[in-house]
Amino acid sequence: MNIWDIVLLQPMINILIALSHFLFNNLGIAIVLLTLIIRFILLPLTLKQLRSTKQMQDLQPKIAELQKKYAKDKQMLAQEQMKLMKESGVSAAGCAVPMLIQFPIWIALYQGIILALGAHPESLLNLSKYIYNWALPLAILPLNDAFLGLRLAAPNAIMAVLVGISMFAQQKMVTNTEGQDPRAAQQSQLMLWMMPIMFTFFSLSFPSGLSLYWLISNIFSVAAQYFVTGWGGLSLNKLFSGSKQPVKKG
Amino acid sequence: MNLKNKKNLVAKASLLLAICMVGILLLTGCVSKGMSPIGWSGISTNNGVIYTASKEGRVVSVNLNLDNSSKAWGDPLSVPNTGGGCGLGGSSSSSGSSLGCGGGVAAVAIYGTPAIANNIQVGIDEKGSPVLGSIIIVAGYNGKVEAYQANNLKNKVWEYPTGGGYIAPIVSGISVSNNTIYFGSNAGLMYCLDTLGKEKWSTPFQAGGQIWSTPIIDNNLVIFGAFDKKVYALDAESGVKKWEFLTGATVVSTAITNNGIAYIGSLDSTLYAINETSGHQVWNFKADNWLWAKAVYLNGVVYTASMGDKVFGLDAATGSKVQEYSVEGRVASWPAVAGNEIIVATENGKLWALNTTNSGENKRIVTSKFPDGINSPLTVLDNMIYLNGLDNNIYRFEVGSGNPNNIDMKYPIQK
Repeated sequence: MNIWDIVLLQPMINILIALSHFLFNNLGIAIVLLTLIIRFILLPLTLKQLRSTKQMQDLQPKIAELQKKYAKDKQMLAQEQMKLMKESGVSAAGCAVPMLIQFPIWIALYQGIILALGAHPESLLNLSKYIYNWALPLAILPLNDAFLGLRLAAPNAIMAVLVGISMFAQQKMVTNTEGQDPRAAQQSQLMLWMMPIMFTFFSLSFPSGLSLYWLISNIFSVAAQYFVTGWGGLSLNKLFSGSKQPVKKG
Repeated sequence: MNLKNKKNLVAKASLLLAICMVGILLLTGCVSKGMSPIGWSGISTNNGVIYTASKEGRVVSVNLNLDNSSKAWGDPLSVPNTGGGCGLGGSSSSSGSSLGCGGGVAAVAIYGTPAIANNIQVGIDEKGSPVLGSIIIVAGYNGKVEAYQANNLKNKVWEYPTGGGYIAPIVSGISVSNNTIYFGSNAGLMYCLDTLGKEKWSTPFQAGGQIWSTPIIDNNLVIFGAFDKKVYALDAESGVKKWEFLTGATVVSTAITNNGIAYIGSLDSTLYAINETSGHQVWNFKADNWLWAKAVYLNGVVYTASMGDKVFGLDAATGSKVQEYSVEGRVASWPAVAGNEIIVATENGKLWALNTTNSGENKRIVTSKFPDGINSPLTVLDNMIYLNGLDNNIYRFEVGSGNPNNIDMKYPIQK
């Protein structure tokens, strides 16, 4: 085992299996609980990232003005943008760094769920390597993958749709095209649809245990986003006014 | 917005889409590297020809009487269309993905050793008379069983289910006895076909969990283990359950039989000896770790290899331990018997010969040249050991060469 396995993956798998063991041998509940635990532990970082993103979005109208003003002088534009961000206390790193810190933990959780499912012979054999012998009886493996009528080791279309909807909701809350120039606004709209479609697509092919993780994670993100920005693009007013945001003519 | 701007936007959107796709592929594919079904087919022999399955999901034959080029391949097993997309591998028909990470689309994993049935109609000659021959039968993780003419692997004689149908993924090996074919599936069903691929039982037998164990046929019983912690014995003719035996954990191991007793290991780290007639326990032995590999029998002793780096020799009648060997690695591969030695392969790539004639721990390394490990079953033929490596090569070793680095022959089997 390498350092990644020892520091992140092995503890993740053992916690997941221990939770499953003590939660009525139910891997589904264990996935939900572990996802929530990790998301709560990472909440300060998540909130920092969301606040930085919101600050960045709030600056968009001013940045658009600068872009218009210095359309022919890229160097000046960059300088003015830096100055504006510095004055407003916003840093691009504030958005990216918290996300980068969270990323390895998400990947380890993802790998842990895949391995814990022990769905095929190689993964079950692999899984047994990661178990702390002193902590858990090996006889509890492979884990029971039945959860609310799902087989967590197999793809499920309903879960895929739920993942897509929850991701759309999250993206919709984040997406704010007000004040953006038309091209940026269109790109935001593209992302709004692209991510949910892709994750729905992937959920159709992956074990639904992973879809469950994505779904819970998305719901948590929606709640965190609400805490920072309110409903954003998901508010009834904006939903019923359609996606036609007031866009400044370029 | 003018045409140039629109084109720019489309180009940017396409680039963004491509970056996202690559990012997600990396996230979901590369981080799950080594977690996809690959398969570990063993080797069977018939009239001087060895048969196995490659990691490309093909049955392969090598004629030992000819040179290294005397190889033949069947067509790769087909990938069922499960509605997913994006080049998801065929080895993921029901249980996860196998997104490639630079390796292209994954092939169908084949875990069972090809089975052989003789004197089967494999075609019709020019005069309309049936042509008899041997068939090679393989079962894939795609949920398909296919039979090929042994001396012409391009000729697929039959498949089950027919046409575009698939059953649940198959990990269990295939057993052939009395012109009848038996195998289990991940849906917990035990199937029984004739050698023409037609169902023989009125319905497949339903166990309470997945079946990875290869069924063995003895005394007109089909004996196998399942994920519901049980060992089952069915009437080989009708598929009616004769008895079931509850162990403490999932049973992925395959049974062996001797003198009316079935011996089978469980993931509760226990080897059970079960009376074939009554289904009652004769004895059990608690090992140090999972018992995944099939046991072997030699001279009144049952040898079982554990995932705790040990091999135990147990008196077949009483279960008392008579020998114990440390093999410095987990054992998932089925051991084999060569003369008075037990040949054992470990997951860390060592091949051991354990001498059974002395009471002490008398062992030697045959080779340690497999850094990727060995999971496939071992086959011994004419004092030579054959194994199908994870690197898509068949290896041959002389059992008694005494040279731990000696590889007698290496056959690449990738087409």
